[in-house]
Amino acid sequence: MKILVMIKQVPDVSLIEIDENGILQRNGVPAILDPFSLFALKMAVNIKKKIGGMITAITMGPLQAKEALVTCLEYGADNAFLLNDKDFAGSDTWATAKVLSTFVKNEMEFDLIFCGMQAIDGDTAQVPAELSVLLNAELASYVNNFKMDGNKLLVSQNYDRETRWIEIKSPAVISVSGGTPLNEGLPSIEDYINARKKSIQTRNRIDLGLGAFSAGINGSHTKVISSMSPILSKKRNIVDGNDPNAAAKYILSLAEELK
Amino acid sequence: MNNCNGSCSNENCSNPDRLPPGMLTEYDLNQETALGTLIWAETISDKDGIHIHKSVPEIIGKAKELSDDRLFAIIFGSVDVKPLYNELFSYGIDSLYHIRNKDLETYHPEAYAEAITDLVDRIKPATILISGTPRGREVAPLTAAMLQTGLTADCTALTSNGRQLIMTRPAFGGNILATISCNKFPQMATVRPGTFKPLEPKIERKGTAISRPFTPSRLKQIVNLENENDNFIDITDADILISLGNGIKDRSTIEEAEQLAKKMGAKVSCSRALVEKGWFPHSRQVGQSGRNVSPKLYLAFGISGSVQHKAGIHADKVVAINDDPDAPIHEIADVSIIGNASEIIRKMNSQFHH
Repeated sequence: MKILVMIKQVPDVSLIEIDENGILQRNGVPAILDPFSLFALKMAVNIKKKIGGMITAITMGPLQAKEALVTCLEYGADNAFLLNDKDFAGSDTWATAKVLSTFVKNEMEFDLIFCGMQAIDGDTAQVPAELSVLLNAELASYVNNFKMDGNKLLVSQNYDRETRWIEIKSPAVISVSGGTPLNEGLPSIEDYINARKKSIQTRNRIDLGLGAFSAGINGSHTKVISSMSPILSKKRNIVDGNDPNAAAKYILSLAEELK
Repeated sequence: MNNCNGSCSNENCSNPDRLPPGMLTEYDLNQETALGTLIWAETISDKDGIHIHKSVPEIIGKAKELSDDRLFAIIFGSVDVKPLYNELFSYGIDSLYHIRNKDLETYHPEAYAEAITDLVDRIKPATILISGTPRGREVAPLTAAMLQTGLTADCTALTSNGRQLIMTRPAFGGNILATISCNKFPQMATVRPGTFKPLEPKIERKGTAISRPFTPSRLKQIVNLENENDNFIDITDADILISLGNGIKDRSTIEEAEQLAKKMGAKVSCSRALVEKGWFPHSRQVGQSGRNVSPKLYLAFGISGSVQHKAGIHADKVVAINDDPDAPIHEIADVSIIGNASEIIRKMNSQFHH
């Protein structure tokens, strides 16, 4: 089984702050492997454990995104590719899917592609679907579990009100919304050391044979015109909750007022 | 110069917008002709039958506000959806395309996107709006890729500049609001449910229903469907939310919160930390990367309050219960209680007698 995992390095958005002038402070905010990417990678690793195969982690991003690929190698990917070019900067979801799919068509055979359902910096959830169309592969969205039925791969999809199990026929793109908790199944020291021996290769726009107008801002159909920071704050009203009984009574009275 | 539209070939014409002699406006091939908006009328089935998803009137209302042009809708299903025609017309749909294919009575994302793409080729709308529901956010990017056009996800504001849609959405976990336009037609957006007010229906509004044949090229291999998920709780329609965060260290507190919620008529939601721990499904997560919620009362227990979490809270009243007086959640709280969140949940549970 040839498995690709598309991952993304993102700023830890929970640590971003906005200064008093409403300016986004990104300095010093650590870059992390997106949690949905990690869910996707863990599912790929679990499937590989069952049916064997080879996992390749792929990302489009700045040189710094190599760190996220190293994390993938520690968690069980066999090798990795970084698609890096200054001309890729500013890609919207369409241009991103275009770059990723071009690389896959050029260099990779695959049965399954795993992606995080979305990434915490953009939350668009569009790349997996766009990639599936560009690669003419089946799409399975919101996958949070899998099982083998003989040699058939079945995945469960969570559509809020509805859960559906579908049979996956390769080639397929699987967007993962959950699965093994992120604080479980951490890499061992051996995994950590072995990761240093695995290869990370780099490809740029020319390597992919993409025109300058097929990637980045120029290859995007959507364009950010402006951006601003919303101001979220209220007047503070602080109560001492040292006595949990009194605090509980007070909160219940607030709920009672609604009736 | 009255009535002059600049398209005549009179060389003595003084209209500054006058075209060169002999040239008609029709010759302007760069001018897109697309007008109108296409909406997917998503339906849901439950024990009471088939309904239009509550977010559909919201996007119809917004589309009507943005333009007087024609409003198209596409709906999938058997004859069972016929009673919904008039409801859609009452909200302002002019032309309703009904895809009647037996296989497509069940949701098949690729096939739905193909059918929408096929209809777009026929009616050439300027804009396609789809609700940002789980299905909508799957069908929309499939459709956008098939049409090779741009799509903006989960918009929270829409305005227009002529035929061009100006879309606003939160990014970087709600830390910024980005305003986006699309350089191709049809321009596409998904819209965050609960963002816009639905239009008042008017019974006297009429429209045309058109039955449209369509055969999908492929269908999914569905092995099993559970329509009403036992464990699915829709946190977006709760009046009171008991929301738990990383300050909750013991799983038994979740049990207590669920019991308390049952007694109070509330629902239990959470922040991202507890989804990553595997304690809650993603559908219970409040925030930019989870759900937007608008309860009357939002009780944040042990939630530190990242910007992305706060961005999802649109409550009348926010009470933050946290032992850290410096936690950012207090910035949006109407009342901040500095105390032990788990302990206070336990006491609320034992005090409640109804």
